[in-house]
Amino acid sequence: MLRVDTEQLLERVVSGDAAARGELLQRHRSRLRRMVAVRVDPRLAARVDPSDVVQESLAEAAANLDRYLRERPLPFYPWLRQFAQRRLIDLHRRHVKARRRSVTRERGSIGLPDHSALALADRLLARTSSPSLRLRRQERSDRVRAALAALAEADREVLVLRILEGLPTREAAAVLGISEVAVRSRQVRALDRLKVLLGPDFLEGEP
Amino acid sequence: MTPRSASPALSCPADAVFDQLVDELIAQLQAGAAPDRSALALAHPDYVTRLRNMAQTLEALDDLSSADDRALSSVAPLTVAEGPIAGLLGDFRILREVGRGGMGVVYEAEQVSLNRRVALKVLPLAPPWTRGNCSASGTRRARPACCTTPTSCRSTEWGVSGAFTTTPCN
Repeated sequence: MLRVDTEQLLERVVSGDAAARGELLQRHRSRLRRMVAVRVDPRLAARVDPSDVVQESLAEAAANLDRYLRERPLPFYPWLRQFAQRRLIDLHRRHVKARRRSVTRERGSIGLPDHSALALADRLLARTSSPSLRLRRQERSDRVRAALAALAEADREVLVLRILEGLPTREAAAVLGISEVAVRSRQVRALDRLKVLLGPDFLEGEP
Repeated sequence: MTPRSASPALSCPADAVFDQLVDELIAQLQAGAAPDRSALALAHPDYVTRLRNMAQTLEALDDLSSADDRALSSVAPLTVAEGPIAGLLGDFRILREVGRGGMGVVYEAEQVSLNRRVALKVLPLAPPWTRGNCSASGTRRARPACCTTPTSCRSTEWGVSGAFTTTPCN
């Protein structure tokens, strides 16, 4: 549905519909925001507002939209996503590599366990009433995160793109530069490996 | 069942039909629907156990994905910044960034083994135009290697390092 609408909007933009330009970019805002949240370096997470990264990426994409419409090098969202990706890399270079300020110190000031785990706990608190159930869900989420971190990058990437960023197969294929068939094969392999990393007790504990 | 590789994680051979079924499971999750394990078992009795395992693993991931942005923070930070910027990329020591475009980044670099300065073009691994096998990629890179003009550099070689494709130019 998203893809069809995007194609329709692209056609409207090509035909000179000015309103469609903004609509085209804005409809992907939440996806970009999720991508930035998932991808931001942990040392920058405290000082980078995902909304700013998204806004700047959308502005840059808007400035390059005419060229995209002429060339169409990628499906639209993977093309748009590149701007956020580059911006995150630039932020990383400026703040982490250049060490303009000690992000290491800032990270320490946040305290560990990191805020993401605490936020997840907050969310689970709202969802359930049993402390033991909350604890169990927290432990399961922690194990999933740890297992993801232990995967080889190629395996982790395909799962993050598909499950956490929510990209359809076609877009994940464009981002990874592989065929859709290869995406399907790689994600099964990655899930197999993730299952092993999670351990048999993890799945046995499923309801 | 024949292992696909030596990895203990891979216990099943490649199977395009199964790959497609898992792809459909993921699409269901993306649409907000929990996979119907009973229906899957009825429709695909040969894959009951594998599909059940896949569905459980996917649901565990989906639980994580349904968290808010803060909870997902830094689950998979971009690592592309680490390679060339950290200083060394294969045989090349990165000295400075010269420019960047839609296809990659050009660095001034020192080729350590030959002690020479080069412009190093760094591309994401397997960009769209290199789809296909490695020999095809090599052929495409061979063309600029034998083509020099006053306005273009000569590509002397190419290689793959980590998540990057590298092409040094004189």
